[in-house]
Amino acid sequence: MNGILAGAGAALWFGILTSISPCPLATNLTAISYMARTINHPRRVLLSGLLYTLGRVVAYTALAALLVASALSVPAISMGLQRYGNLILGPVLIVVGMFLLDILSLPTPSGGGVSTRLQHRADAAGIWGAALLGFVFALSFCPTSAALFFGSLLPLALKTQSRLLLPALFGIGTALPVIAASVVLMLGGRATSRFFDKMTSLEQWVRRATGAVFVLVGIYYCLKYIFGLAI
Amino acid sequence: MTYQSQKKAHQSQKKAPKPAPFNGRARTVLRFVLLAFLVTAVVALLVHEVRGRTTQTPGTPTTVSTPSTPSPSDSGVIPTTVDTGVPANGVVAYYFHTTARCTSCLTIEKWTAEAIQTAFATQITDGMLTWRVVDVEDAANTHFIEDYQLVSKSVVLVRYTNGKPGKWENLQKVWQLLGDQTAFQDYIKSSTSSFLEAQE
Repeated sequence: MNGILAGAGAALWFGILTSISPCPLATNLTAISYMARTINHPRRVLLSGLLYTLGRVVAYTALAALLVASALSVPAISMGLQRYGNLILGPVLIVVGMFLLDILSLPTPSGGGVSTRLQHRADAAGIWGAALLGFVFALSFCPTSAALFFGSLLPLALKTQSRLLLPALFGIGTALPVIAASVVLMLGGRATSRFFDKMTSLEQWVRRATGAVFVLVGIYYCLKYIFGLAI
Repeated sequence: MTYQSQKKAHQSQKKAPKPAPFNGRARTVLRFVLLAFLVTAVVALLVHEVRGRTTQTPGTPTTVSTPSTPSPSDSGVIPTTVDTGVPANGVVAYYFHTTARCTSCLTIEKWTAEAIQTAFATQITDGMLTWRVVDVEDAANTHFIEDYQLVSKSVVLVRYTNGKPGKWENLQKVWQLLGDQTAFQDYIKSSTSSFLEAQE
């Protein structure tokens, strides 16, 4: 029992260590700006933060289960995810950012009714985008997260025979800065709404800023991992 | 939120002053610039990948690689790969990194080099200990990933006897001690000292 408790504490700590390292700073910033998109719906901001955490938890748990159950080479998977995850992430973030900035748009059938309903559905589904973001960001490993997940957490999970709980706690630990930011945004959103009646306008600016953050972080990833610039 | 309340929100949105939208020209220019960057990045990515695969095939590696058995542990299984760039007998402290460097990776390299070069100056001069920095993404060095079960940038101690690698140890805790330089360098010094003293 003590072994599992100590393992759980260590797993959470490894996650926190990952989250506070400089390595995932750009993705954390992107995730926080994504939460802020719905700042005039404070509860939705918090829900986004929790769904983002869920996405990360699912990614780490599924990956740990896959590696334990299969004969896949851990070093090959780790190095492959670090290399290709970061290579692909840049262009993907730029495209998503362009959609958020309304620079790109998907062709929709003309006619207000259908279009409006599609818009409502897209907004409703948008909150699950946070979970998808968490899942994708968790799998685009940086050196710190790879070292702590594959090198420290996985052996610990095997040793303590806790192959689901420990990766899940690691996922929660890695999402803590984003959860904290979503709480601050939720409280900030409530406070701001007392002073600003026209929150819709604010939300539009925040959405635009979110798009800009996605594009800038995407460009950063492209310059660093595709063009090999030392930045 | 019901459809009615969403409709109300939508109506109130109409009344609220909107931020100045992108005008047609600015939007077109931005779209063109970003798409051009995107296409360049994707082409560069593909070219890089194709070149990487091509250079890996023939190569004139400084090392001879044969498959080794993977192990989930931090040490143990002796690789059958020979690194010809190291002394025949002695310990090699490797720092394995990838081509793309990050702040933490550079810090690990710097602190480890400092700790080893200051604490083991005599052993380095005597040839008992060698410090080597290796890019595992170079075609000639990719075998190190499986040889020493590398999952990220790593510090690995390897004992060489008659030019062949033997016992090795991956110092996994370097990533956990990154917040404390003293603890980090103490860990490097004590691990290296124990490794040097241990018998094959």
